[in-house]
Amino acid sequence: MELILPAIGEVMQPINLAVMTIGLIIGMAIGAIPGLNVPLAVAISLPITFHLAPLAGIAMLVGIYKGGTYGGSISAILINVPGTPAAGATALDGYALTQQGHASKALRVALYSSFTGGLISDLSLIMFAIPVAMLALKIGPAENFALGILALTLIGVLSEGNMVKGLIAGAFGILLSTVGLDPLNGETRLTFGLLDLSGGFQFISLIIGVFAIAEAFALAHATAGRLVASVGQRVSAAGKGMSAADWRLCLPVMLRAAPVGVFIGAVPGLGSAISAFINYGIARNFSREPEKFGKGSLEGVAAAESGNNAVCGSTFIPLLTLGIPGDTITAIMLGAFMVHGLIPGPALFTANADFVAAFFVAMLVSSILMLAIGRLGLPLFVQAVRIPNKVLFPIVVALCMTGVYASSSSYFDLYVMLGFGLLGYGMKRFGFPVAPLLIGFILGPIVEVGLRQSLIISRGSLEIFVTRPIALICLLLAAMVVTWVAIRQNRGIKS
Amino acid sequence: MKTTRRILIGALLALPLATHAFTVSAQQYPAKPITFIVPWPAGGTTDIIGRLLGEAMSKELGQPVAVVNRVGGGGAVGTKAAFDAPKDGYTVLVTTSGNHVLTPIKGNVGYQPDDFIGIGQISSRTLILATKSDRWKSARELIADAKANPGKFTFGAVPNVLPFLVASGFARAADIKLTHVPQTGGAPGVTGVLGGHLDLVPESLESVQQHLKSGAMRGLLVFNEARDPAAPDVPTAKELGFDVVGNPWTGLAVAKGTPEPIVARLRDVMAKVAKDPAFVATVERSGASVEYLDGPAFTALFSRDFEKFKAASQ
Repeated sequence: MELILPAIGEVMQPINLAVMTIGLIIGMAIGAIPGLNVPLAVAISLPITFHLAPLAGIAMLVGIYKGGTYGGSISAILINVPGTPAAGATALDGYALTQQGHASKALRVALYSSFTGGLISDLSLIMFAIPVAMLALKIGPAENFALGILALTLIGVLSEGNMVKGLIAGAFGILLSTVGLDPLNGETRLTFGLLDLSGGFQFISLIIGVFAIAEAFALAHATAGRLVASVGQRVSAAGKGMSAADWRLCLPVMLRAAPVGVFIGAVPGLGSAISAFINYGIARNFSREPEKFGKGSLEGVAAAESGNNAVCGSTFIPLLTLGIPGDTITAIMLGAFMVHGLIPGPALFTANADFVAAFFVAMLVSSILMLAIGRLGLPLFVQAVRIPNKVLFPIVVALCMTGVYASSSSYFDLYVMLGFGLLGYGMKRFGFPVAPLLIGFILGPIVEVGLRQSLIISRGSLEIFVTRPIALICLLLAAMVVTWVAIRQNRGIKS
Repeated sequence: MKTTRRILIGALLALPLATHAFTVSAQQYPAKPITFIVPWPAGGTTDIIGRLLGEAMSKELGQPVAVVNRVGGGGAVGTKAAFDAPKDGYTVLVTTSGNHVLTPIKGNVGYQPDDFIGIGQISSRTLILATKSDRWKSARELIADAKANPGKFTFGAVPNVLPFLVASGFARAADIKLTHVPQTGGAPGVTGVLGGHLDLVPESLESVQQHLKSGAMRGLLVFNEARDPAAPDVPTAKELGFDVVGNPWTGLAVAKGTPEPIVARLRDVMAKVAKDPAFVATVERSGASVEYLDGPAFTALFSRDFEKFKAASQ
């Protein structure tokens, strides 16, 4: 505690607040622009931070990280383009709300949920870093497999009332995730001899394709068929802010999603997109109005945004306590720490206790700054709803193209994105839900790698999944969810 | 929307610069920005070294260096792109033993190690076989235990990369059977050992160094010709009688066919940068270390390591 007061003084220095603000603004812009992703922004900014003092440099990267994770929701809500993979779940309901004239409300829910999730995550990092890290270390291949199976059952939850098409979409998502190099033995799969396919499909191409490009195709089709009145109607009003009733609806969702996100963030290799979709599924499961999910549910936006931002603080738990980077961003941050002579790991807390305290304060301050900047920017962001579709969508498509090309320098990824646009358009036309496709795609590799590694370790025995308590609990929960969904489905509770 | 539109216009204007190749004679070189292709993801060791080199070399060359990550296919996508680009010195490959030598061993990827000319090696890493500190005290103990329990103990490594090859080479040389649990990257293997899900991990010394220092892990062997000063207590495999040596390297290369004066210019500039104490200090602070080799010596590694690891991977 005696470390906290000087740390607050240090973080509050103008230079630190300034670089954090710059980081947040860069992050929000990068997050909101489709294709440009947050890890790329952090990687490119890394050499800049070498010239700053340790705290300022790392605070700037934290700002980019947090701002980027939130920024993805702005374009997801306003123009149906998830700026980051983690904002995919936000687009499901956020854009529907914009179309219904509630853009202002949806943006506020996203901002406040991001803040709440981020703040809870920072506090967890500060208070429970060591126990959470020990729990995360217990997650081995068997536990990863079981967690993945449990998360996959959410496809069932999200497909109630449209079960067959939902399951087809989910299975197709898993199939798409198997294209490319086999994650374990490096053999190519389903690439048809194309070198470009050996890296597999990029999640960002998939997500931009099925949301933004599919929406553009739908719009083009509607315009050509003079059906403008019935499809793709855009309301140019942003609507009102959040009412007290909206708060009562969303706050419990935010608070429930945050701890789940904190746990997912602490486990190396999962990440914010998985947290967003899992929390979206959980929120639908517990909602009183599950039928609104996918058609403009505030709860859906709250769960997704609180869930993905709750990952931001806790990904630092394995990094700071064990020196293990859990995802690309923390791997880059590890480099930033090392450059300044700070070696993450248990020794950091004793050797550089004053720095750790300052880092914790910087995490909290950047969350508060993010809330302030986001709130100030809101009136500006909502102006996007005034732009008519025939002007907006050509810009969106061009932005998507340049964004995807800028991050991969590959024409092939552009064709992939257009292909997924056609897929998304087809799915929309024939009533296949998009969320199961995305969930299958991100969970497929986790389940596959977990299963294969477990069976190699156990030498082919399935016992490994029942003798390890965390794995067993997850598999039992998965069985319960499946049973429960089956019962509800049979009773004919339609969504 | 104004800013996004401005970015869009800027990006569109920049596009021809990036895609069109001008033919410029060697005397004027470099007359326009140079692209460094990194065939590995942003933020990794190779990427950081490539960016630092690019920044330092651009000051000497008087032209900006753009670092582009072309990821996929075990580094084959980026390496092939550098091979296919005009051979005018404006596309430089930031290359590693992985994409340069090991990936072409696995299958036909459209290039061979000898299709490139080395500009210079910038770093070479030590590989260490590490375990959790409450397990074996030495490699001898491990060997005795593994002989009594064939196949019981696991090691985590990405298949067919150098750490995998040295670990399986060691098991063969010591006549023990270890079970390989394939990993998706180096870091998950280290996590697996710390969490008790794996028994052993072969990894670069710098990625486990902090765990050795904190006492969480112990190094059993290094696969060097001589002991690494950064881990002086850890014996080499050679000392114990197992002739297993392998060092992953990183450097710069250009496609064969690049005019000789341009190659010479790049080699001079890189040599100057690699010997600059300020540059060396920056690289070392990022966790890597500078092990400079000049162009001809680096080029000689291509075919030597190709033959060596081709034999080891069969």
